[in-house]
Amino acid sequence: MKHPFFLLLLLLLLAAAATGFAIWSKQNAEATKGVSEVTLFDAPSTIAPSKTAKLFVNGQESFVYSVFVNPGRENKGNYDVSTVTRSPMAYFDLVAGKANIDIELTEESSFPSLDSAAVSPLAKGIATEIEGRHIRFTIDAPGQYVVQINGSAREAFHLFVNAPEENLPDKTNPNVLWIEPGEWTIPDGIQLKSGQTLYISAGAVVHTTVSAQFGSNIKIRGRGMIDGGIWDGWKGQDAHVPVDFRYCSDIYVEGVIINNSNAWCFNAFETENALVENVKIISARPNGDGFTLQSCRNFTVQNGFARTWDDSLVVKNYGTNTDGILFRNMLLWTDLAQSMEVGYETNKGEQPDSKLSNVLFQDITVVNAFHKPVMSIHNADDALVEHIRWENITVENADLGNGDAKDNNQLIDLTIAGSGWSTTKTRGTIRDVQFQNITVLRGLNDPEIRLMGYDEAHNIDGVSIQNLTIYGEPIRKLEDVKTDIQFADSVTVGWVE
Amino acid sequence: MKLYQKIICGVLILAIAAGSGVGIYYMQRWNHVEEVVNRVTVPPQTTAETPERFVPEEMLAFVPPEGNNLAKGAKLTESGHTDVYFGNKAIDGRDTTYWEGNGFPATLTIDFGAELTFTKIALRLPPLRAWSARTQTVTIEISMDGENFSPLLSEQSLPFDPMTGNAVLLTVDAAQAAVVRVTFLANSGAGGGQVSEIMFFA
Repeated sequence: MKHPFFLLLLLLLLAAAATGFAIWSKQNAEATKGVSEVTLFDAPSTIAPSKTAKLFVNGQESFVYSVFVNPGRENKGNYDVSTVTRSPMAYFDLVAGKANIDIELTEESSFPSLDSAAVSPLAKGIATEIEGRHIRFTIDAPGQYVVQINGSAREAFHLFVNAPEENLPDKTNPNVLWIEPGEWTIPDGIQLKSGQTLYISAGAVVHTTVSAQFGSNIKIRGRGMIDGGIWDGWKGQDAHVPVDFRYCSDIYVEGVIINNSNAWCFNAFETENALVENVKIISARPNGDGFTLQSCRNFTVQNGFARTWDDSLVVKNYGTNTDGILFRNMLLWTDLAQSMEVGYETNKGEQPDSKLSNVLFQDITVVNAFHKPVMSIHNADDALVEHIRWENITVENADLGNGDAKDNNQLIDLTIAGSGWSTTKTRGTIRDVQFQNITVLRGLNDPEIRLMGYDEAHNIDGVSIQNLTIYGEPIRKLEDVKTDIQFADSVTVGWVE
Repeated sequence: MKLYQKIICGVLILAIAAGSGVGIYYMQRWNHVEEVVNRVTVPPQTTAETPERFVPEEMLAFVPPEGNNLAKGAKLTESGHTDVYFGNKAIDGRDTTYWEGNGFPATLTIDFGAELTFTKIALRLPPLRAWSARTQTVTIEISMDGENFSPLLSEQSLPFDPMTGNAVLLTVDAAQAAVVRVTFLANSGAGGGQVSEIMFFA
């Protein structure tokens, strides 16, 4: 070589670049090294796992419960449960990073082949990979998820991904009632008093009810399950409501699963200043309403799940006035009745000047609504119902009107009328109802909006529908959507880009 | 090229190879996700148990007085009820179903259909541990015609405790009446009067 100096210089530069590359990549590798950490919880040895599905999280098997669901679309009124079937459900904690999920359909699954799978909320855009009888995908945040197979609602996989628990209650505190992992029966129920905390550990299945009356500063926490499987259907007589607060204040309920209630599931009556966080409900039996708030004030239910065989979220006046209710970031599946209902009972307590006001349903996804209206106010008494809002609602499947719902199949239904649930003889009014950013992705019917006042004096006044999209089509004016309107004034439909 | 130049070249080439290799190694590490799985186990069981803390204390049962319950077959009217807790549940013969009134005052009126005499009245609530102890304030009146009532029991606070049967047995002088009206004025455990069974004995 004529100019070895240049060769040496070139090699020196390359060596320097390689050294720099090594240092740079080492630093990046250390800084961004991926960690996926999960905590799996075994189930009681007395509980049989799902026969139709297995779950592997980060390559390790996680227990899959077999829970009752009800694809029947008719309440025959005789507490018939012949349509009840089973579906898989599992939960775990996502501690760090992303969890790699692998659902395997067993040979006992009713699906002869696995062609597709969709993870709800669809808005999260979770891609699935199908291989043989395995569904693989990644979860990057705690939340509630439902996996539907081959476009069917059958044997949907319910997956509850929790954040790690923080600030655990002190097990040795006499005011902490601590339930360890295992299957437990407490048939007489747990009556909580002021200042007490009930902690239900992950891996616990407790056959009991939890209630409080005239109490304050009460907590129910944990990742375990309250299960009503030891009781027959309530049949109008013996309702064993899993969680029931009456005349309470300063309530915190977090993390638990409510399963297979023999009646309605989470009930609060005349209760105020409450936060219900990450509570999951699955019901399959008659009158299995999800979260029922009766005459409550300053009450928030958020980041939870309800798959129910009756109304999923419902607000009523059973005593004094309702005010300040927030349902936020919920995943719903309504097998029967309404998804988000105000009513029918708006003055069951027969109070003078009854009012039900300031209810907000926000950031809610309805995976399936199979029966009656998705968003509804049924003012069946004489109350003033006002300032009710629905914001950022996605209805993934509005397959309404099945079974005995018949023509009560509206997407939105605001009605003032007497009904079998009425207490007062006179009728009320509905004022200021707003719908904003409502998206319906699919459904079998042409979704209808019904605004049905009772008469000129008992009418609906002030309904605003903004940015409603049905099957991809923006609804810019009233004529763009199927409606049935009577005794309703100041109804506006608009679109803001 | 001289020998020392060849040696320097060799060293630099080794440095390039080593640097590139280390860089590629860490690039691979960069994409690697370490999977950590914690598992919480559950002690084995053969059957569902009751946690020690929740093993119930012994509850005393309410024992009704001997004789027939005169309210059986009577007609009951209520001033109102809440939810599904209808008035007729107070005389349906089941101690776990109950009437709950809708605010105060609330009344239950029992029409025997004929004049009769009683000396004991039992007011019961469901004998279930889930019921907290409570006090109800009541008055009791009697009537021959269902319209004109006279006092039998003046305002009185009655203690109900599930651990002792969740019932109150009142003894009165022999009372003759065709109709009895019980008025509930307060209840420390609910927003209305509550009765699972109201019973009368001679």
